[in-house]
Amino acid sequence: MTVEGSTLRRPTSPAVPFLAAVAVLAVAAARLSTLGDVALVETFVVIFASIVMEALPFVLLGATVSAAIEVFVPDKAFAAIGRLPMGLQLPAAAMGGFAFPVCECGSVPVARRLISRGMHPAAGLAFMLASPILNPVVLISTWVAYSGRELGLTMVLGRAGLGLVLAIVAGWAIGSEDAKELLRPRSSDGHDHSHEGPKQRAFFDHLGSDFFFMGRFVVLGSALAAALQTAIPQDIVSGIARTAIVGSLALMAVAFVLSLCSEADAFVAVSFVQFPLGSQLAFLVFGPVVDAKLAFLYGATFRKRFVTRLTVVAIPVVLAGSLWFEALVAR
Amino acid sequence: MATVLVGWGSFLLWMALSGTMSRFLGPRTYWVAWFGAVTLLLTGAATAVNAFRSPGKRAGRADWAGVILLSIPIALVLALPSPQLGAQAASRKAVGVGALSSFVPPPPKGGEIGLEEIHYAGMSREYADQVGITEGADVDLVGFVTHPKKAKDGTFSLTRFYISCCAADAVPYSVPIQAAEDLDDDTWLKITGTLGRGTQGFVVTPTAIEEIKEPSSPYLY
Repeated sequence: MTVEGSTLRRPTSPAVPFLAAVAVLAVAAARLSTLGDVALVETFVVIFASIVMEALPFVLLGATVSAAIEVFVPDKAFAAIGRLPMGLQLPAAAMGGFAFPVCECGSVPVARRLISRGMHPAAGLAFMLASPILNPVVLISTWVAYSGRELGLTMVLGRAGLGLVLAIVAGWAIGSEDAKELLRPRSSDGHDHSHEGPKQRAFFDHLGSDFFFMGRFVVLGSALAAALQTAIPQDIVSGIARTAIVGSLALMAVAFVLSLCSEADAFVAVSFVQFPLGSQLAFLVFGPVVDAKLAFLYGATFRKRFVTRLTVVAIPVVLAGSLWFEALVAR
Repeated sequence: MATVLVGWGSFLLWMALSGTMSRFLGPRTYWVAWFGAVTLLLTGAATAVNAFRSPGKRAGRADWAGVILLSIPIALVLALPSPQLGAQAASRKAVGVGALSSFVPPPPKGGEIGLEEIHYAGMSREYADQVGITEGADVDLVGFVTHPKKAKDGTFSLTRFYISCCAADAVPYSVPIQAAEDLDDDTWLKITGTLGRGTQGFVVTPTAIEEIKEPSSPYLY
């Protein structure tokens, strides 16, 4: 560990995630005891467990890639990337998402690793935001979901285009600062064991610590999403689907609450038949970038107010993009 | 750490083998659970071998918090005998059909007339014609009993959840049943009857109501 690295080392308190979990459970238990309703708990458990089951395998995939970057990619490579001009790094990193089959839970640890190893923060963020939308599995599932309505290509192009624009804009707006300003320090960074013992050992140590770190925030985020879904009646949004603007904002809110994996969300978006197509696009682009479970992941990975800043950038970009898309396809 | 990795791997494997998974995921995402089971078990094994050969640093409090949090979902699933989405979830997840600006019905799936088709047919006459849903048509439906907010006292609806990927995206479809007697929430029924027009969409007048055991896959996909 270098000297400047040690200033990064302010361990996050383990009490924080634990207390949050207790709070969530306590709220759930309180609601249960007032209503005396087992059905409520069943609903919560089914939704909660199903999101975790779907997310954890991808967290592991992300942790694997992240550990491989840490252990097997030499420092020289990142130094070379870091010297490239911003105008080239940023779009290149966003386009890198096309080649990288990791959805949103996996791309967060990878981006963190890329940034901490010297990639420009803006480029790292652009990659993180783009890969859950642009990756091949997601685009194929989008095409499959919409091909039944003969809109496969239209939606794929719309989603990839708007996702790319959002990633570049948000990366540029939020990430143009020092990596230390952006990343939240992590206690495990202090124990640097990558240069002792065989590389295989270092690889699995990093993999394990990344999986554990991300895994517990996925659990917390899924609990939040499930609690929201259990408590809030969803038909309050369908009553306001009349206009494209309100419809887009409403579906962005739904995307936040549902916290679906981006490889699966197109099948859900296509079922929102009562909303305009532009609003469905807003759902598909906003969800992979900001949702309830990601809010926890981002909170653990980045400094304060990152989620707020990202949301403030993402809402107008997605809204404008979805309205423009609606105007194009509605002709 | 190895314990939790192996634990989750075995949990997913058990879910996949026992069929419990169908309560949580749709067939489109089964591969995720299989993929997770295999990779988690392999990673867990490698981590365990490494820890056995040369014990690393001791687990800190942050590690324990992670262990506890990651075990909560498993504990909850094992604690409830057969959790599934029922009438309570239907009351939260129901998507209203009131304010349609430009309803474009999904393409007909073909096959028998189910709750989903009846739901859409109530919204669009064009769709109803495409799938051949008319007043007086005979239907054969399986679902559970719910009592929507707007329903009159003493009547119930027959409901079934449709899942595309996982339980988080479940959408309930239901049809009002014009039966003489009311039944409790979450009772599974097989109803044979004829379609009729109600104030909002279609209703079913049953000729036979049979109480059944919960189907092996409670949701439709």
